[in-house]
Amino acid sequence: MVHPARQELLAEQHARYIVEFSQNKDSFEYFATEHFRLSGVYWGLTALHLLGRQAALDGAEIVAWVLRCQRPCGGFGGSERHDAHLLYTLSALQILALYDELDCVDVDTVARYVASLQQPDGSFWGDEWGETDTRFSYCALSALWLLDRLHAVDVPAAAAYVAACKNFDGGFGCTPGNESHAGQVFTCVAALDIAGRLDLIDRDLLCWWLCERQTRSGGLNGRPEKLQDVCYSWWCLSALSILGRLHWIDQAALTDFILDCQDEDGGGISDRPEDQVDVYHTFFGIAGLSLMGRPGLAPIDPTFALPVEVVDRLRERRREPVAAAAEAPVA
Amino acid sequence: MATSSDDYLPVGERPEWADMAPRALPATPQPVVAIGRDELLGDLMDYLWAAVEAGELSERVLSLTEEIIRDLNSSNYTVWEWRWRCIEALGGVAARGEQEKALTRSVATANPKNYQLWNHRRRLALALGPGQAEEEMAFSAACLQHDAKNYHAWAHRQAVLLALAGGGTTAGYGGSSTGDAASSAAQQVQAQALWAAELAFTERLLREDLRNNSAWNQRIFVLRNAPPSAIGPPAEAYDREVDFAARQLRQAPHNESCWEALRALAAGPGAPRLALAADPRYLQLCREVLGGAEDGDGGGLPACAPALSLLADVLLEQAALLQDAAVLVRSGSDSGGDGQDCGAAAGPTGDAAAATAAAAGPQTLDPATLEAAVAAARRLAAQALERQLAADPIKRPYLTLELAAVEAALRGVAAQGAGAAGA
Ligand SMILES: [Zn+2]
Repeated sequence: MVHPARQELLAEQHARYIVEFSQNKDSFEYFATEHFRLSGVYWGLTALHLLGRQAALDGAEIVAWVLRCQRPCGGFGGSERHDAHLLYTLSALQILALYDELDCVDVDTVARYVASLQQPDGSFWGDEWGETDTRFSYCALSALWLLDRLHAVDVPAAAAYVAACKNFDGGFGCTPGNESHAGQVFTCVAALDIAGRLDLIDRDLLCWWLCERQTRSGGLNGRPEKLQDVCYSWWCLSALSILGRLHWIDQAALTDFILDCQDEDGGGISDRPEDQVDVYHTFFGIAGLSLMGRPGLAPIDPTFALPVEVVDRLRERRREPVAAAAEAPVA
Repeated sequence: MATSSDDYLPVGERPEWADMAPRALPATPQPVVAIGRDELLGDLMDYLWAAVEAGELSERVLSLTEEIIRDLNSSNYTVWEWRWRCIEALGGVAARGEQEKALTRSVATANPKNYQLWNHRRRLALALGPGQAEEEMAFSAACLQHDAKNYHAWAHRQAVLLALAGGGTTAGYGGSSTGDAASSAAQQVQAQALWAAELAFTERLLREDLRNNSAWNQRIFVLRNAPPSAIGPPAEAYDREVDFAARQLRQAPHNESCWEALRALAAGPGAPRLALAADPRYLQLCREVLGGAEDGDGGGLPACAPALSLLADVLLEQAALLQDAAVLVRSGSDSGGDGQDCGAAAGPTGDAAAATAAAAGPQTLDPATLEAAVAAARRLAAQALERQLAADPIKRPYLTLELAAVEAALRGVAAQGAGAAGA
């Protein structure tokens, strides 16, 4: 049963929560999250866009700050003083895409940085220090797609590495052999989608595993026998949506679960009902509801985790001028 | 954990830092992004940024990174990276290994899900080489004692096994650095022992919690990657593992992870073709758990969704085996070898036609009888799915579609069959 005060999406409260959180710069937590600030800003801003409240923050200042996080190598650090990393390079490009300001970066420099992290087996390092994870494969391909530079890397090899991380249950892990995890499933399915290789997925087996993630609470978990959590609404749903199987889960039950995780007083969404809210779960809760077509929310693209409007704008623009130019074969 | 402000000596008042000026952020107003200041962390970080900017790799920078990691923020990736560069510049892992092990142990105690910690530890282990493998297994085992599903700890074990104990079928991925030719006989013995110990380790964890999906995944990982010298020839290992899973299942019949592991075994190395149907143990397990009445309409039976799900797959694989046999008969082949598989599969459907097929073998049967058996197997699969729907109503949207697919297949069989379908 959804708490009586949480039957509706509390859009106004959530927007206020995100803006206030962004402006409270005195907490230890705010300082300690400096190294992934770019991702935090991306979560908050995308949520505001989905809520139709993007005007609540000053876009010009945010774009200027994002550009200050770029390092000479072309990649972006988590904030102004941090080393470049693929995770934050993608967040930076996503923010610039939200504001239609991708022209502010030198596209080829960023693409070269991303390409420099691809390994001979097709995988990607997160930064120059050698951590390998299918999350980074997604970051690389998604970033390059936003830049319209997919041909800067060996896309077939990237897809083959992701496919090598597929498990017996149809799911995907961080590296070959690692346990299936819904978060990795999103990154792998989306990466294969960008690579044009959804055929490498065992669609029915994977979607069945994703459906099994729905617990009797209506919420979804990330692995068998783990607790349900709002962020998995995004990780599982986006993959189901990319694979055209969103209707395989009980969407009404999941919607109720997410709504029940709202804080009706201060705004924001938590991982489970009555827990402490945060920006991360607020974004993933709203994104999940958007994927399920919640009225009042802008639709989100399941592959790029950006408003559909933003992704469509990029696609349109590529179609117009010199359409035949960049038809680099990727498979 | 945080250093209390009382006994904190600001870096600027420490003699060893007297020659360096801190590098603070410009204080421009930025909505969303302005950085809040916590004095203590801010002070340490300002000096670290100054050192990074000057490219300094020294003892004092090493201590500074340790102070930040231990007391204030263990997940700042730049701090860890700068630390690694200091280690390399100051004698490398051979000289600094113990210090790094102690630091990672302490961070793992406070924050075991920290990505940077595990990345650092893996780099360290791989740089130290095969002699380090055993200690790494003990390190991650200690972490798993507190959280038996810690994803990083399991991934660490896999990385160490693949890189330091050889083996691995995922050639080119995660690569083994100890090529068989290069490694000594003693190293190979140690590697075999590590792989064998991993099976024992997962068994111990499963004794503590039968539902630990990570431990199940690890067993499958070992089966797929360990050299036969460590775990036996594939067919033997397969056989043993199915028995192991069956024993676990009898203790906790509703355990989703165990059912998934069975499915993985059926698709893994050493398993026969269409193993779910060809190996009678799967059907027997389903029957035991479901009360042996998968062909009734299920009133009052335990609602075990994963058992019903596997049962449906067993029956569908039986249908596939029977269909193979029907094709064989129709094409006039008299090969007796394939018939054995078919016989083993057909009997358990409990259907009269299938039982006849089982008793006679395909070469003596007409295609119509075989197609009736295929239809019977599919019909039973549909019933299993229907019962699963009743057992687990939240899966309704998926199961309804799955059922529709099986029913469509049944109609197909009826249309092409020789009139005996649905008997
Ligand atoms: Zn979460």
